[in-house]
Amino acid sequence: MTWSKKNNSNFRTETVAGGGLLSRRNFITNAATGSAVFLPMSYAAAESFEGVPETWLTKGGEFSNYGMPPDSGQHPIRWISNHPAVPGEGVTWTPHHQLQGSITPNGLHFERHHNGVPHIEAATWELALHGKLAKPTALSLNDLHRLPMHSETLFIECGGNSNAMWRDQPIQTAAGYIHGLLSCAEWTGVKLSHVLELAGIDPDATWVIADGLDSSGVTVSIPLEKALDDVLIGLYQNGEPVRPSQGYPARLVVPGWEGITHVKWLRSIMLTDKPLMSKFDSVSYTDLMLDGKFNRFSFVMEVKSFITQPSPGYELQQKGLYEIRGLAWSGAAPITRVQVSADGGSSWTDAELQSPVLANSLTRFRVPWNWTGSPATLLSRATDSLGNIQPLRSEIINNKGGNSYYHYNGTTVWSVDEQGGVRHVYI
Amino acid sequence: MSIFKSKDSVAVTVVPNVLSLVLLCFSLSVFIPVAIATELSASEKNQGLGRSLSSAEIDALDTHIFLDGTNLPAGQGSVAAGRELYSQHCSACHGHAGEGGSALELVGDRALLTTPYPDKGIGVYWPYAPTLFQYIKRAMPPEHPGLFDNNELYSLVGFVLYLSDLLPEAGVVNRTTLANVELPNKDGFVDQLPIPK
Repeated sequence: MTWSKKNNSNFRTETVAGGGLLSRRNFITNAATGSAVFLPMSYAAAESFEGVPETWLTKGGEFSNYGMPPDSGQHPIRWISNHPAVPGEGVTWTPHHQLQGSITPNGLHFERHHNGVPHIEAATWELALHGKLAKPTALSLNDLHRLPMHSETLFIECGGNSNAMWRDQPIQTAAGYIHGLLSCAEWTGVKLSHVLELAGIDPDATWVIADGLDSSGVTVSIPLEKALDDVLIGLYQNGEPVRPSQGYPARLVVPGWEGITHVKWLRSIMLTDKPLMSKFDSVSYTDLMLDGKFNRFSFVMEVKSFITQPSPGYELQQKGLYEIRGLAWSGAAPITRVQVSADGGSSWTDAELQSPVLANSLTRFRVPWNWTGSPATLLSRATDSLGNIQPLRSEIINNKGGNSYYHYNGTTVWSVDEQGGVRHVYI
Repeated sequence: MSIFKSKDSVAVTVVPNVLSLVLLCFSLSVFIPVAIATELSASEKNQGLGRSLSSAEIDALDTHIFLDGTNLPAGQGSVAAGRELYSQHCSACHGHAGEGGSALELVGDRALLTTPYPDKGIGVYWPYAPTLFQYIKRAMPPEHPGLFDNNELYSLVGFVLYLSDLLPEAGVVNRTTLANVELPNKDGFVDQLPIPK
């Protein structure tokens, strides 16, 4: 991979931190002085039809019922990591190192399946509401579509995202294959609070047990308080019906909370006065701490960020002006600040945050950078509006030990060498 | 009750008191359902939505096995029978004696929990034995979930408990004995509740 590089002749640097980090104005000044940013096209006189773009003279391709990426072999794809004997047990990774903006295309949204994608007939599907309810009810998909809908742009992050960061040695792979069990979409559906209130919530109900229709027994307990606060029964993802791989016909969407709570292929919601303590509540997705105790019900995905470009796999082919880009998010509160360092954390500058900055959503950050050709050490550190600051990796290892496996939210450091190669390092 | 058979057809089955509204407006199909729901919410508690579950349906749904053994079924198994089943259906992934393989280990040493890469077996990690029954029943073996009947499930649970020295080799397992097995890591958790706002 090479990293597309802006024309860097004729720009003056205004350094704001070590390692070549620049003021945002550098890009603007550069553009205003007329430096070419795009590659020049060659033109020829149209009358002669010589030298005109070939596509002017050729009938274009046909319409399609559903648009697909270019068939170039270069389009971003998800990598699949699955069990050799149980192909439906595993994950696919969102290739963040190849994407921009903050919305994940539906075909690149990460997946975590425990035993494959079930086939569900929407026409006969029903969501059962039972337990501590006045009126146990079954709702069809048509019933759900009659209720008021609500849309929110939300990240979903697997509790096990970035688990390679707990390893003793930095894994050498693309950023999306370290942090790509994380995606962001506009989810549209019906508020879980609405359907539960229709069925009449018993006063002593305190937990919700959501059960899925796949064959892996995913059953998850969620405090009723959260269910009534902002949980959605997700029916649409980025405007189209939720795909089978994302839980069609309906999944839970639990803003800011770890992915396992977003139960796909919903079958039933039971209200109780205690958690089930299913395997997915009490064994998987609990986090082993330094003292040998496990954190349980660690639902909130805490403040985190990483640099998507440049990142391992990229090669900086020339010195000069680049833009450092990355993603920041927090399940606790909106992102308020992302700091970027190019000298391993000795000095920092604030990155520009792409607006709007939404709660429980991915926030794209960017900062201009002049690579002088010297080695550089890049990292980002996010802060949310509650004042939560993303820990350095060394801090998280010191505090939690190396066995947690889940909920890594420390920093990620990329080292740029003199040849422009990018590697993952621990500092 | 559904008001639309399909997204682009005329209303087929309707809630009686909104029939005229639906027929009047079905050409605006995208917006109609919300308007109906809003109108009914003031007048009818269930808004004419969904159907009541029968008591038989509720009983069929209410099968989650809780940590105290609630909903454990009748039946009984033995470590010996579990060993046979395990050897046939489980050992290829979980290892001959639960040491793990392509699937997670089932045995481990609690004394090693604070050392690098500890084995998080059942006696090391799991807090409640009835959870084993629920999980194996629903999810194992992955190529054929639902393969085991209740007696076989009790036997398998018995065998994996035996592997972690949590049940004697001659032990029998049923809903009473399983609910009474206390796992060593029962108090090894720190609940991150209440949830911070």
